[in-house]
Amino acid sequence: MADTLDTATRDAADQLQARVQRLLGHSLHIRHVDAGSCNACEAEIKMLLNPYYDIQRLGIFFTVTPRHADMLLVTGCMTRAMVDPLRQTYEAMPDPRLVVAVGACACSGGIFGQSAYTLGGIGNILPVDVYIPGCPPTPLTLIHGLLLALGRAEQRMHRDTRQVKSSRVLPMLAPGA
Amino acid sequence: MILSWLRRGLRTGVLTTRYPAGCEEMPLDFRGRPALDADRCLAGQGCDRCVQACLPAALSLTTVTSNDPKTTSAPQLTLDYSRCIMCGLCVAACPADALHMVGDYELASTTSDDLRVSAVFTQEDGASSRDYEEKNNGRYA
Repeated sequence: MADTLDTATRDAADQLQARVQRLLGHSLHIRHVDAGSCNACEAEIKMLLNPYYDIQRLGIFFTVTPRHADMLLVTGCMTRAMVDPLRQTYEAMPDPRLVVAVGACACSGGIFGQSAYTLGGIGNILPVDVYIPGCPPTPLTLIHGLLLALGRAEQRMHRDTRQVKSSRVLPMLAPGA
Repeated sequence: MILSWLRRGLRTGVLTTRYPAGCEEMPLDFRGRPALDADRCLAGQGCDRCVQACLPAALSLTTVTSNDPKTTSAPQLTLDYSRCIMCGLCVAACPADALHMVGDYELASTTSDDLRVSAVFTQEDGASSRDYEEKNNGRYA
């Protein structure tokens, strides 16, 4: 199909895509599904909407229905009870759709792993586009993951992330405590 | 009353983070992620204290099976960030200070393989940190 397009059509398509991207700025609507989470990831996701992180300034919104969503944000260790609801949610979403696994549980099963009741990560059920590790991931990690999924990671102006290299272990975890 | 709200809002200024456009200071008690310094690690000498301490089995110690005589049956320490719960128990358990917490929050990745770093310890020269960097494209080195 792409080979049969002549140059003028392809140029027009490129221009149209650039115009759409400029006008809409890779805006995104997210449907969140809890597949057996402990609610820590939900607390961090909820924090994205507060005035401090304010993810809506980036054109990212949460919707209540998968029919309006571009991205499926899944948390939790993929319990067997949630396999069918998750699949139905995914199938209800229009193409193109993104799947993002949030937290250690959704990425790989985390501390639950694979058991009789959990499937060990949503990668076994759905094709995952971006993995956001952490238990739970901080809101800034979530913003980074969402921008990575959108191909907007280069919006980060700073390249030198100030890394604090210290062994910041809680006093109760320090050896000999 | 509205005037006092307005005055308070103007005095407070903008609180929203500048994150994607600017750098963000993390709070002091943010632990970050564990980072492995393969040059100091004693896994080549049979130490597995961090693996014993790890709750979700994010750290694992295996032996390499390859045809290369230099690396075959060499111990390999793998740190899987997709399983890690960033609790810091491995850092507390490490006797050689090879693991330390890095206050880094840009961790998301498009493949689960990118979230896995591993270090191979060849028999003659202890840790080979070059292997370690190649395996994860320098991302988590």
